[in-house]
Amino acid sequence: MGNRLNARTGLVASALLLIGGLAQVAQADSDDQTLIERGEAVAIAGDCAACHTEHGQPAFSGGHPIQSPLGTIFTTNITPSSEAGIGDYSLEQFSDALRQGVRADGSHLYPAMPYTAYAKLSDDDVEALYAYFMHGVAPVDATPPQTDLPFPFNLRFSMAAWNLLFLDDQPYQPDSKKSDAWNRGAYLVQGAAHCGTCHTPRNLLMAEKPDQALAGASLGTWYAPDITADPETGIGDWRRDQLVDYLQSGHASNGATAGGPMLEAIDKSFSRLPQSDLEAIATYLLPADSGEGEPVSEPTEASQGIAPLTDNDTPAALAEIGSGERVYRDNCAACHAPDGRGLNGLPALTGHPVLDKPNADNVAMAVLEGVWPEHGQGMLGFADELDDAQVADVTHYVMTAFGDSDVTIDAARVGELRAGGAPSPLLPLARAGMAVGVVALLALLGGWLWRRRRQHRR
Amino acid sequence: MSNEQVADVVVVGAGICGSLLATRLARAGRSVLLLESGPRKSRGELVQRYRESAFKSDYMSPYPYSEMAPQPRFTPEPNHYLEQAGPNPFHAQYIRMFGGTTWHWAAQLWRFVPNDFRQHSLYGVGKDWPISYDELEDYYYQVEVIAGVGGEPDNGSPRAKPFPMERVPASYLQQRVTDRLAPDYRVIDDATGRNSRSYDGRPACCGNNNCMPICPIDAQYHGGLAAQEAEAAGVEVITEAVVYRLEHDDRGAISAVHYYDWQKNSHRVSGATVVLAANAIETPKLLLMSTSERFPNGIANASDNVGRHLCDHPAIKVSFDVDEPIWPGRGPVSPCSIGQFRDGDFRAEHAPFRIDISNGSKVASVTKELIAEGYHGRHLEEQVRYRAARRLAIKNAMEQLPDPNNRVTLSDKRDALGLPTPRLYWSIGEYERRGTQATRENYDRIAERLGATNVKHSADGAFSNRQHITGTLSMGDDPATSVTDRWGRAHDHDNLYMVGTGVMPTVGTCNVTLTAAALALRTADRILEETQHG
Amino acid sequence: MTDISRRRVIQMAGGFALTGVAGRWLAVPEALAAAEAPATDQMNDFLAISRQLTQNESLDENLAGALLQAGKLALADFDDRLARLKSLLSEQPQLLAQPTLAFGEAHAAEETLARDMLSGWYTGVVGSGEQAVYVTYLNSLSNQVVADTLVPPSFSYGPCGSWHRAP
Repeated sequence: MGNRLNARTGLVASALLLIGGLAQVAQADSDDQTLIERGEAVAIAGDCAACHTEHGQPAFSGGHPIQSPLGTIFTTNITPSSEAGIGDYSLEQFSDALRQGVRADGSHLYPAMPYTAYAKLSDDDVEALYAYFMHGVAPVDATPPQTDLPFPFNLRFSMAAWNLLFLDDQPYQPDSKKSDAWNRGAYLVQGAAHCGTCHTPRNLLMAEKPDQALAGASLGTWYAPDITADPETGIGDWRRDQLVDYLQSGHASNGATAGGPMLEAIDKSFSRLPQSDLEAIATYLLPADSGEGEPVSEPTEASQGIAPLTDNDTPAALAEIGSGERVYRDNCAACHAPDGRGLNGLPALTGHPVLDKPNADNVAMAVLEGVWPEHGQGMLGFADELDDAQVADVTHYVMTAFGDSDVTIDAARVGELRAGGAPSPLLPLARAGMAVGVVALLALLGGWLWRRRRQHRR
Repeated sequence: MSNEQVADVVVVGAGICGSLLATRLARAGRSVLLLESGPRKSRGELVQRYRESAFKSDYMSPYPYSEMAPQPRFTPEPNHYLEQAGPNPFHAQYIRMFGGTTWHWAAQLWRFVPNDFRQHSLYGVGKDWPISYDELEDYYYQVEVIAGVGGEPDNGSPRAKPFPMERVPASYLQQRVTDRLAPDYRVIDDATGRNSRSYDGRPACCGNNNCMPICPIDAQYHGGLAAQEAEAAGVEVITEAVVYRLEHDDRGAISAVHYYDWQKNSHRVSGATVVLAANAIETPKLLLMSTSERFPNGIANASDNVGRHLCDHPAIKVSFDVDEPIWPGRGPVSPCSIGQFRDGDFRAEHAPFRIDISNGSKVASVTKELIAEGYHGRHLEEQVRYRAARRLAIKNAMEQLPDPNNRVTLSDKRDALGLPTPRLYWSIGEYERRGTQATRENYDRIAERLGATNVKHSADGAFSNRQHITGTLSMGDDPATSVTDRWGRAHDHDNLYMVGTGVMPTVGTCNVTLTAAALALRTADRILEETQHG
Repeated sequence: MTDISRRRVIQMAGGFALTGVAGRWLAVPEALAAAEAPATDQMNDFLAISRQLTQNESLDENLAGALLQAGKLALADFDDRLARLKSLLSEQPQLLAQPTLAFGEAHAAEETLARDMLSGWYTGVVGSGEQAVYVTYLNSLSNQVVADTLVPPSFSYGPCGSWHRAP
């Protein structure tokens, strides 16, 4: 079976083509095909492509650079190429890499690869994912640039100690007291979708704090907010249907719009999950909501009128405005309207959930980088147009005028965001090179353990 | 000396052509210095200046004006920067600023039609170009990729590759006009550098209907972006640097350019290669100013061709009220046109033309009109709605034949830095007047087809400018009849190149920026080739 | 700002005219902000006449104040003409019964002021040429009367392509 499939993979350019071609062959192949398709769904839920597919390069051929202050980490080729990818991996080796962070050659992965979350995957899903990567993905023989961090950060073995401390490698165990949907949601959130990778704060050793799961954390630049059901700090005031819409489209009727890495996760992963999975995630994250709130009515074409625009823009009024409002009017009001309520289907800022966060980083990041969905209307970034003080001023204006927030930001913080984050030990979280900090600390820890053991032997 | 600078290449003028050329040279490893006479302003400031202007109908009003680098200005009152010496006034508008005149435009990026390059051979009028459409085709495409151009593919200009951008959806106005004029008139999407999706860090158009004078969201490509890109590529840009003299050595090569900063301190910059990209009026002005014993008529002017053959599209307009509401003002300002009169045997008899259909909001103009007519009260309100919903404005882009008598020279006036201002002579000939007549007949037919009332034509014999200034630095193989060779190099000076619309020998029937920008990239490649061993 | 007299404001305005649009653009808000608040009586007259001319009872009073200040700054003989326009319209209210203004030669100055006031309300600009003064953009009546269909230029109509459907 494997050989036959392997022979086919050489002929086709993409997994989809392969699957299409397979549809016409025997029943045995049809089972394989089902497995591969299931594996592809797991790969989508796991958002493997976000890191392992570099824009403009063949799928899963790696080479995506993750910048860190200590050097660039390059993601690996996970196509079934024997020479450059994981073509020679057995199912067990594949599972170890995915769920234990151990490669076939025995070396350890940096937890930039979210194996602590993938550890929750069921054996069935791992098998399906393996089938997909072996037979549903075209092999690419190109080797991406190698990650070459300087000593001591290249000591991958130190991860073994870290895994001992922090890796819970038990697959997800369903809670029989909860509904199937809740359990499915928990499985996705804790496992494949690896929400905690960004949304859960980490301890000094860069491990997620289990008692603060999903309570919000900074990625150094963008802030992954609290997505617990806490109505004050989290998303407890969201309805499940709003969360489903948000994960499907990046927009929700409560005014939320996604940006930054979350928008990328929505474009590449959540928007491609089945509706039932999104509903399951919403059921898990929002257990109190019955899910029977007012149905969200999307504005129909006929109802999309043009909202009249008014504003006090007399010379006397304009002479009074501060720098933040000045920047807002000249750069933002064209789409978001002078009063922040959004223009004709372009996002409102008044009451936007992003303004309700414990810091203003995401507003400043959106101003600097813009918002770029794969499809649909994008927003321009202003990094080239505005200086740090202007970005801080306009962020402050938006937070206070439209969000009624007392959270603010200064030019120094904007400067850090512009530079890719503050030089802090908490910086390298998640994809953005969190591994580096771990390794640094663990090198020390490993050295300390080793010395202690030697002392003990004496 | 502190006020001396050296670079491999010195480029004068940070508009779209100079910036694109500078970027290419810098990316190839050359040190490039880009001198811009005007100031630098952010997009946000320009948006503010537009909204708070008392003269919104003047596309120049958001752009800063300085006596140090003056430009033609028409509001509140004309400043007469351009002295008019001919029977037809040439009311050019251009912006002396970082990014240049394409800050305000509708991002029209049209290719010529192939026969435009062989006008004289085919129709016995005007001039042939020294190069063919095919020689320019790939350069056209390169600029289209930089700017993200989309449009109707079947527009008379063959293409080897599809447009890099999907077209912007047609407004309701465009759909109605297209339907009602078919089949006699084929209304097509313009070729524009306007995003219909995110492209190159710029968002899709949101229909701000303000392409002219300033797009607030950079949904359209413009020279400011080109100049920014040049800086990112390593070009050193100096603004408020008014070049006033080209210096030559004993061999006649250009050895330096001299500029004043706005405090009138003089600086000298030398470069192995000098490129002039200061627009089709300011570049000839600079050449004519740079006289010496050896070159008493100015640089590159041994055969007295500098500044001659001044062309634009002498336009006539019509406006009327269509018999149904079409609501101009929704979407981009200039989305569509009629291209069927751009080429044909008739070109032996009269000028070819393209008919441009405006989608710009007419609210402000009909309001002024109604108040002038004395309307007030409810009637005024009703009529504003009625006319703003139905008003259609049309103008043409008609080819003018190059005529050596139409020219840029120096006036006797001096600006604040003591530099001469331009004097223009412009006369519209019989060929263009016959083309105007043909345009006018089509206007009437179009108006009739749309059930027009309140039809207003331009005054007889009055032509307006389209700001497509060409011809004054014409390229050609014969030094006796042209300023530059087929690469844009001055016939008289080995290391002096010119880019911009001035090097175009003819003006064609479309907006000229794409052709000029394609030529600029071609010149950049030529400079790289010529200087690779230097 | 009380030390800035009206005379000083006019001098400033003259200065802007000389320095051109750039200077004007920066300094007019300053000049208008600095101008003394008009007397209440005059404000009431201005508003009443504006309502008659526009047949609009819900005119924005804040904007009326700004237009009045601009009129005093940019229009010659403003106070006097406003008073005369007030008497004319109270004596001959039928003048506004016709669809277009025609006050006759004897009242040409008042008619011009009426048109200038309409211009101010409808275009957001008072005066012309060197004397033109920006007062508002979004709140101009011409933009307001089409606001269910059009957005003032430089503000967005909506996401790309939203203009494809019928208005």
